[in-house]
Amino acid sequence: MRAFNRAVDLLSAAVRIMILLQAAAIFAIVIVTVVTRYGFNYVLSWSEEVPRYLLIWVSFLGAAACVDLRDHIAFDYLFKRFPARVRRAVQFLINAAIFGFGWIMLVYGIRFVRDFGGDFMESIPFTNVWYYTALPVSGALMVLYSVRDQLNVWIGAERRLEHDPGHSAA
Amino acid sequence: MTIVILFGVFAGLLLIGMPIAFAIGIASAVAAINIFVIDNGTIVQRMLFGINSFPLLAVIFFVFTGVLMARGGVAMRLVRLSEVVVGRLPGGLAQINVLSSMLFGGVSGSAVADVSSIGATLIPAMEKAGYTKRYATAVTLTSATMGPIIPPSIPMILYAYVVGSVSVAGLFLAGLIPGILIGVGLLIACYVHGRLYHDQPVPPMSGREKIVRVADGLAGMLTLVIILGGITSGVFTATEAGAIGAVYALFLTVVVYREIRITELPGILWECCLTNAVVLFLIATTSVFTFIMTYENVPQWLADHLFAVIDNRYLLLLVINLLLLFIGLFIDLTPAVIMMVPILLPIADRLNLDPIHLGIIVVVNLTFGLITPPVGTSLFVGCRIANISMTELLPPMLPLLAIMFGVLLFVTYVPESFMWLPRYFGFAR
Repeated sequence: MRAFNRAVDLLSAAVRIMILLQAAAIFAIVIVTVVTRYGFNYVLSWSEEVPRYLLIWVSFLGAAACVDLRDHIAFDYLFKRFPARVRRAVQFLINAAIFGFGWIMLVYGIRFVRDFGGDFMESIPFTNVWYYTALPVSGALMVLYSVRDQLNVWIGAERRLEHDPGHSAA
Repeated sequence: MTIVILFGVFAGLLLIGMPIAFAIGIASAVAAINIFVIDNGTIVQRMLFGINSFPLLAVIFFVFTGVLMARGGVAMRLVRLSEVVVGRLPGGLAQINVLSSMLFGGVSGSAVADVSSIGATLIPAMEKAGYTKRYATAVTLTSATMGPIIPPSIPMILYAYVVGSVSVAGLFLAGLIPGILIGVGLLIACYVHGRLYHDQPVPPMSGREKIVRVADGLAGMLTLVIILGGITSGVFTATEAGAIGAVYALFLTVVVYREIRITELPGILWECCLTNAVVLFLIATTSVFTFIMTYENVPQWLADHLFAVIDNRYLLLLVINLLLLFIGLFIDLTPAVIMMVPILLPIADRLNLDPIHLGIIVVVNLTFGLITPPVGTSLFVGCRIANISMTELLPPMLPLLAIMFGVLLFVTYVPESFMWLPRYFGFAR
């Protein structure tokens, strides 16, 4: 189990680096575009489209990371007050539901990529596969993370999570 | 039937503690089983296209700016600036708390960032000066609600995105006056409280010190001028304003104040990515939810029936307010905005409510939810910082909430009081 956790952590670290690079690219492209527009009256043709696709990647990969970190916003007032046995059962239900939703994103995401991914993007010669794929990848990660979480609950190895209730953007 | 499933599954999952975004997504997937034209393929398609939007990039920029401003010493400088302005009045520290939150609301759109930065300093300081801990926390929490109301505001960006046809600049301008009204109301409350219990102001300071503090604070406030000036004059879009705000915040906190090291930036960016992901994933799953609701004609149906029961405009506005306050008790501001707005739009349309006016009603109402039990994001952070329980906090908070409620009713029924500002700049009719 420890080896499995370590392997998943390694993957999570890779996902994190990916997200950070994409986010940095969003900042760079938008800022450079503002400068070129007002400074040189020139705008790269893809400067509106590419940040959108990067945002989709950052958001879906990030949503999977938030499953791993249990960072999604929830109403946990009752959950925290359930008796321990009920809480374990509910935790299983939650993980199962996340697994199920991740599965939908994975399986139907793959179908969606296969059926509709062949069209070209608006401003650059790449197909939509390049951003449609974010959805099944995120789904696959959610499936993995929900399994990992449940396995850890079962063997009683509570992973230490720094829970930060500040992710509400408000 | 589909609707019963949709809302039933959602409410059930929400109550047992399912993350809201998944509760929404799963309820939609279950409800879709009943509808022939919506399958799982539609679900993934809606999710992808639901966040394929340039304006939504503003979220990550404004979150980043807010975090830098809170951690990089800008919040603290606004506290010191406020001390110059209101420190000598009765209830000095409480007044400083309110005024600095008001100013901080103008550089960041986040109440939570406000509580964790200003609260962490001022709650202990107020306690030391003889205020009760619960009063200090209550003042911190209520004043922090100005963050999402005074521009810039992330909830208003989300509102504009959900509505689709309303300008962010108009909403930002419209939020200015209600935010200031709440601030002034709270300042008066602190004055009265100070007169009654804490008539000792903070010690005086030299004129030179005052000038330094004001200049230092104004450097932070320049953010508001850049953002608001840029988007109202049409020089930048809200997204670009967010990017420029982020660059300015970086310059101020890393280069000028040197309170944030470059090595800390990846960690800060990572937090912002997580916050962004939470919000955008909510939008993604909610766009499936909204699609099903619209397909089943729910918002229209609700509007029809509501009007059949209540045909008085004033009563209906009150009902909308109470509904939003109730929702805010259980659901965080961000998901509540994304979910409730599609339901409210047809009603607002019948009432001939300006979408900007509706936006202010929605955001002001739902900010109550940030600080009211049983769940409130700011409330949790405040309780943790002050190490105090929710029940202890409630009595001193009630009069302050009453002031906010007064402002809420005022902006609901007297929209002319703030709508003239967006109208003057041509963003509202």
